[in-house]
Amino acid sequence: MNYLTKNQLAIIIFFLPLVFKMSMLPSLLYETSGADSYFAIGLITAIEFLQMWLVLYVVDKGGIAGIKELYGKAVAIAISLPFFLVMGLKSVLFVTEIYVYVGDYLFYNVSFMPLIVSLLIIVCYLASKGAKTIGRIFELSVWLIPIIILLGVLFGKVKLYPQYLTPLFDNGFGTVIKGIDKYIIYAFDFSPLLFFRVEKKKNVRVLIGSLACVIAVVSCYIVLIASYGRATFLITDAFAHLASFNVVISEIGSLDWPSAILWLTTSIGNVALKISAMSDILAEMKIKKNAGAFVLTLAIGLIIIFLTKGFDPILDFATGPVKYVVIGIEILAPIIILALYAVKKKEVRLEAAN
Amino acid sequence: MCVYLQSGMAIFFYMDNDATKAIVAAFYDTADLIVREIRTEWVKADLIFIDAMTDSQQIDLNLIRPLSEYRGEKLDYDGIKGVATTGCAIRLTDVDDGIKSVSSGDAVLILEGQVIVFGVRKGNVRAISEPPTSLVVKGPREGFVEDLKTNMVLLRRRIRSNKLIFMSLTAGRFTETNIVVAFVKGIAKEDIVEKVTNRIKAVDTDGIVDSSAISKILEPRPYSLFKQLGNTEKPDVVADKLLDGRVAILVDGSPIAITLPFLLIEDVQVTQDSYNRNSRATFLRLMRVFAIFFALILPASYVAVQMHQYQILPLQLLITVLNASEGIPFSPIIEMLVALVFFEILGEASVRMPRHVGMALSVVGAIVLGDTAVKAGMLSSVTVLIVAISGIGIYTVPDEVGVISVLRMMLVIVGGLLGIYGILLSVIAVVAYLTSIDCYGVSYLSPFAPIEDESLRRSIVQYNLTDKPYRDPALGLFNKKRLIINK
Repeated sequence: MNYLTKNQLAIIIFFLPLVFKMSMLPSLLYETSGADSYFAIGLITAIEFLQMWLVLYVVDKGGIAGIKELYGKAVAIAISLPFFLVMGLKSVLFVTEIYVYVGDYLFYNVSFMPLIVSLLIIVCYLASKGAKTIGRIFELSVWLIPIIILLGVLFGKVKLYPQYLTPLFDNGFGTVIKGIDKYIIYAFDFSPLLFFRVEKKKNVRVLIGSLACVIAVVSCYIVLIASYGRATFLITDAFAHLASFNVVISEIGSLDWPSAILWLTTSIGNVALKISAMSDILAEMKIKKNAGAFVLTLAIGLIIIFLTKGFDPILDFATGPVKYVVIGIEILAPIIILALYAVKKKEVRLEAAN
Repeated sequence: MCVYLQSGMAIFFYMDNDATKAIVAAFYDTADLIVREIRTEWVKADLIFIDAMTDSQQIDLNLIRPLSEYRGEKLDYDGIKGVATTGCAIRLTDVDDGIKSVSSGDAVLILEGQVIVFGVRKGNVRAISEPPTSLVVKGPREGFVEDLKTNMVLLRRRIRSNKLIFMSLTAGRFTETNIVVAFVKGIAKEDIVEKVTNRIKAVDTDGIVDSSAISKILEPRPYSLFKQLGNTEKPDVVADKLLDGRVAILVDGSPIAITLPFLLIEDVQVTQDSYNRNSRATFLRLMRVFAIFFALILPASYVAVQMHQYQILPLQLLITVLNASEGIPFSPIIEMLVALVFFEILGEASVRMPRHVGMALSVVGAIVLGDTAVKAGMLSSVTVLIVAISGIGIYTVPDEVGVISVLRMMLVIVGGLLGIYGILLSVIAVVAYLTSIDCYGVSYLSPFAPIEDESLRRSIVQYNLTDKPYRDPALGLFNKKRLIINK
């Protein structure tokens, strides 16, 4: 149920960091970092991939399941709880972003309650099915990329103004650092992988997936800035705007179906992966996975409906001091797990020597 | 005297021939049971059979006459083999087996307390003909019939190897239906064969009258909207699938063979493809996929656009749609549902009607009623057009018609309630559901999810036999090599 093949892993690694960096973040980052925002997002993604290799190294050692085997359930739960909180926070942020993005920009005339309820039903269903099903969903999503590229190549009319990208660091490197600092919460999406089993083979595809992701993210920011210039901060639906470069849509309607499906599918998959990992943690506490996924999705829904009331409050909270806690957990916790593995290995070696 | 049968029945009788009385009693004086006494100086025997199930000419010429005319020593089993001239004579040790043999159409001879079975079943089998469900322009036209043995021969003719195994099972307390699990030894996964046989054996029901009942037993999710087993009436298709490493199930009394594991993509590939040029076959496969997709999405999208996202239509198209729907008394969702229900009823009626009337009904329904509905202002012309396009598209993959028509209705309702967003979410939900289905260890959406590089190429692109050196990797077979070219 929670097993990913090497193809699925590579594809998930491509999509996980991409999807939420391509919706509202370009406009937010442009407000902070200006024309250098593509540089800022490049660094954010690079940092994210450094952490990804750390996570994959831990997964290769056995992940959280290995800690449970070596140290018992209590230690595994204790190590998992910080991840639980981080994934919970990011799930609330991302679900909010999905409904704002969908309801305000992608489709009009969809009221809030049906939108959020139907969205959460799908997320809950996917989360309860586990990594295998989510991995397959991501695999199917890949087929939309060549269609989008084909439409773009055949019907694309893009006017790029490279001068919008220069001069680099016009306002100094400080704005880049400020952008990275403020929106670093958008990095570190790989911690759910710690809770899944992954096919162990020498995997060049993971490397290709991660490189392709960095290139895709940075080049999309470059294209957006080079097209819209200072108006980029108004582009709150980046993915749709990128897709709308193809003129075929003006013939059959102003909606680029492949890109809308791709974004919606991968964003739902991203959140479902987190909730699935969280429900696995709950499963260690004797709560069945399906029930766990339902309770978590319900909790996220209630938080969004009754507490956060819109995207700005949750974004302010996530980009506030809490982001440093998130960074701390995302970097330190895998290192602690590795240390625990090393200690146990040493103990075993000493026992063998004695 | 009392005989206890294996079925638990106890039969009491006080007559000369115990076994005869036991069999007669077991049939409760049914009208079609014939007991022919042969009483000569040398032979004292009872021949029991069911009228019309046995070949009366064979019984007369090969059994009754030789036995009646026999002059010689007292007959026993070995002796009777030299007298009776039928091909098959088996001695049974159990009266229960004698009862089963009589039920199956054999003749049972009770001789000196011994039960001997003669295979004299009547061979009134429907002629082998082209199955109406899978008509082909080019290619083999033979189809399975209702007789199990004929169907086995049709397969054996195509795979003349001792590795083709027919594993025989029986199911149904009353029907005693013969079921055959066919596979090629050394290619098919034996654990799948074991799973299939265990599932069939585990079911103790009154009767199995058709392979559809076995399908429901074997499907991993029998209440699912999607069929998870392949079914075909064509022996060439089954033979091909057996060589691919699949397992086939034949049921006596049914011309439909079941194959498994089943992948959704199988319904897009048809045998006709191999008679087309590869480029044409590949193009047609893509067209089938697109046709199904549009048949599914188009009605719902039209409703969603009209009710929620009309602004995404370009002005010219919007004006056309508005002009067409002006004066229609129903909301777009009701209008589309009415049109689709009407189409479904029309389709169902033309299938049930006698062939010639059905043809006339289709023409009347499609042309006259559609046109009248538009002229009467009940349906818009665009709605009729969309339902017609969708209706044609759906039939490019005939095996999935049932699924698509139900999903299409559901999507129209969702599109009416939640717009395009709802349609997208529903498509994601359906795909998520499909990805979660595993049919006998193989993903239903394989080779697309999980991606199987080798089978991915050939799933859409038509290749020559010489370009397919390996069997479908999605099936996870141990014997993968299919092609060896001797240079």
